[in-house]
Amino acid sequence: MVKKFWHDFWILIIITLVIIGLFSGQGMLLGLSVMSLLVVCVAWLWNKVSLENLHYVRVIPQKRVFIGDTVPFRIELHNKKPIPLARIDTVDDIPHCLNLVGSNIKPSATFDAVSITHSTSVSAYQKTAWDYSLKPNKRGFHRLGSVNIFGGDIFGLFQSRKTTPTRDYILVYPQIINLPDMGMPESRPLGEKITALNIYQDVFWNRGIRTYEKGDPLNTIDWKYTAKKTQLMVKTFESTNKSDVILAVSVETSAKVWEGYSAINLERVITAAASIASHCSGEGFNLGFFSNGTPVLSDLPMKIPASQSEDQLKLILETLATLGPISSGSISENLNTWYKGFPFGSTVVLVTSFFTQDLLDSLRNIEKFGCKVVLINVSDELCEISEEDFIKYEIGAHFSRMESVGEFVPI
Amino acid sequence: MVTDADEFKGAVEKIKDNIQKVIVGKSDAIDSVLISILCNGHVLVEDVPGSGKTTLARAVASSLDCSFGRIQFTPDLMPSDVVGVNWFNQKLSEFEFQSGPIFNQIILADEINRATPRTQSALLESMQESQVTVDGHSRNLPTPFIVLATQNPLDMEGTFPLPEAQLDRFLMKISLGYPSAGEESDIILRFHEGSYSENLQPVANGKTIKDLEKFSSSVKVEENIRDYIISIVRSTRENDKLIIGASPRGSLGLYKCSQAKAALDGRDYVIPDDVKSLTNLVLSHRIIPTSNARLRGFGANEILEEIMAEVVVPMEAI
Repeated sequence: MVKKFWHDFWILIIITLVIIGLFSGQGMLLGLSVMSLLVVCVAWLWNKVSLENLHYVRVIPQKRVFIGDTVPFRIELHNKKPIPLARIDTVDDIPHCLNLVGSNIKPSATFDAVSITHSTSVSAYQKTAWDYSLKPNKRGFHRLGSVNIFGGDIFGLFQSRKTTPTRDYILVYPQIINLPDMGMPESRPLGEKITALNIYQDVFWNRGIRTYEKGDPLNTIDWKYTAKKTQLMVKTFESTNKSDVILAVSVETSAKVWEGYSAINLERVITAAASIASHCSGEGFNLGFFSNGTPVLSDLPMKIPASQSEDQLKLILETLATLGPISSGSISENLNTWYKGFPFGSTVVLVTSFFTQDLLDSLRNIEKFGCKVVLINVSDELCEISEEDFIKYEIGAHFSRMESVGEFVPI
Repeated sequence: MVTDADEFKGAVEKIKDNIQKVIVGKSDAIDSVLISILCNGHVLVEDVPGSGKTTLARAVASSLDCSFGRIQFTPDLMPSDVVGVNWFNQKLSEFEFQSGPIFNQIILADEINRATPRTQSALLESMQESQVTVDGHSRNLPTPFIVLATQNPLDMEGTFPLPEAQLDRFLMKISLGYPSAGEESDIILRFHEGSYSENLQPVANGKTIKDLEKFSSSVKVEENIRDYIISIVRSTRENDKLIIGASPRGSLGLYKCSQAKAALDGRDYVIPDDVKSLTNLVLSHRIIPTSNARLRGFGANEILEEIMAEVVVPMEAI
């Protein structure tokens, strides 16, 4: 308040000089002070409109990227009014992990961010642009911070500031690693069996219609065609052996919540899960997802029903990109609650870095329910479970090797 | 007989005005459907339920004095439910052909991706050759023969995505989208008593459509515009983000649609803007983005936008 008073105090002095000049009859003083007052008025009005119709736009052609992708990034400043701006300063905060490359990048007051600062002048209806590139190195949903724009009048007497709210974001998917690099077999890593037998008939895939034979189920009779042909006709269906895979991801890395969490193990779990999801999607499995990790502003586990949709992998990778260390409860409790909703006969692939007896009991329940279980341990500590019925992969050592040669950076 | 662009425009505007008695707003979508009809092509409408797809199809059929048939596609729909079946008439002691709903001039194939590929493929021959073959006997379909197929973009479970060969047979893929607040208010005021297209009177017939089609195909296309169309289509075949680019049927479709668009705007010559405004509608369903491109947020429309930004637009020599 005091600062503002002293900042504007010189205006009062000019007004006083005008009054003195008016009453003392000193023409020179009056002329100079009136001229100064006019300049102040023009400058004040100029400053008032300087930030009107001034648009700061971030142009990001690709908002979904993988770690290591290089994305062009452009900043445009568009003055959409007939008044030129002598000086405009902009400060734009960008998360540090997006690895911004370009000019005018300075450290930011915001935690874990850098600032793009520009001081420029813009003519009436002029557009200025600056080109950058981003090379993200950390998975996550990264919001780009608000932009502070400082403007003023042409004489430099006044300054105004505007903070533009922003909804820009970049979603960085987790790294995807080839399964053999993680120590898993390239062919049929989830224990798929080659069989000549058709597993079951899929009622969604009509093969055709034929005459009724002894033993055909009554619910396959097509009454419409039976009436047309005046003899019993039954529908036949295509056989299918497509299997469902449920990817269960545990974000727990320690026995107790208050013990904290291992960032390295969490990143390993998420990277391994993303790699398996990518493999399953490529193989055409009906892929589902389950995790005890929670989405933002919720305390419920994440569930994505099994589907072969084109966007299923995208959905799962987006979920994995945003997973943090906070869980909705232990994975064993969550599995006990939800496993009856898994499709019968599906393969449950559990990716975890931490095993407990409760978890083993849950996996046995899942197996009894009719699902196959595949265990993937990403921790350096070996899992002591010796269940013969489970397919088990210890991939911690492979992650350690990749970390040592820089092929995988768990940050 | 339509002899000039203004006459063409007047005739099409008359049809459009009639359709707009029941379709509020959606001028671009109506234009797209009319362009497609004038090119004797089929339209795939992808939108959420209740957005006016059926109303649009009915309004088009009523305005053109054409017979209308609706087929609700379900997983247990058989090909013979679409094309018809030979059945034995015991009184006459001979087989009779019971024609299916395909024997209409304007067909609404509702939720086409709910039927199995076998049933979907029953439409293939009819869409391309305007005939159906049942028990080895081919039967011609009435003209004009237009299929307006719809699919719901939200539901994936229990659906069968249309095979590429069938998608390629659709001239355009359009989306109606939600109405604006003003349009929605107008819809409520106009139709709260339930009157839709029952009272719509025909303003054109099959002969008018043939005349308009003939004029549309006579619209002049300069060589550089033709090259522009070819460049766009060829770029889709060389793009890293696409598994499959557009087919020659796609370039032919874009060419014909550009002619119809020019005529619709009252011109007897095509300009690059005609091609640009139709590229996404005509080509987006004929190209398949790679899995990597999809993960990175590039759909067919985004890739086509990129391609159009790169292909040099023909300019008039100064």
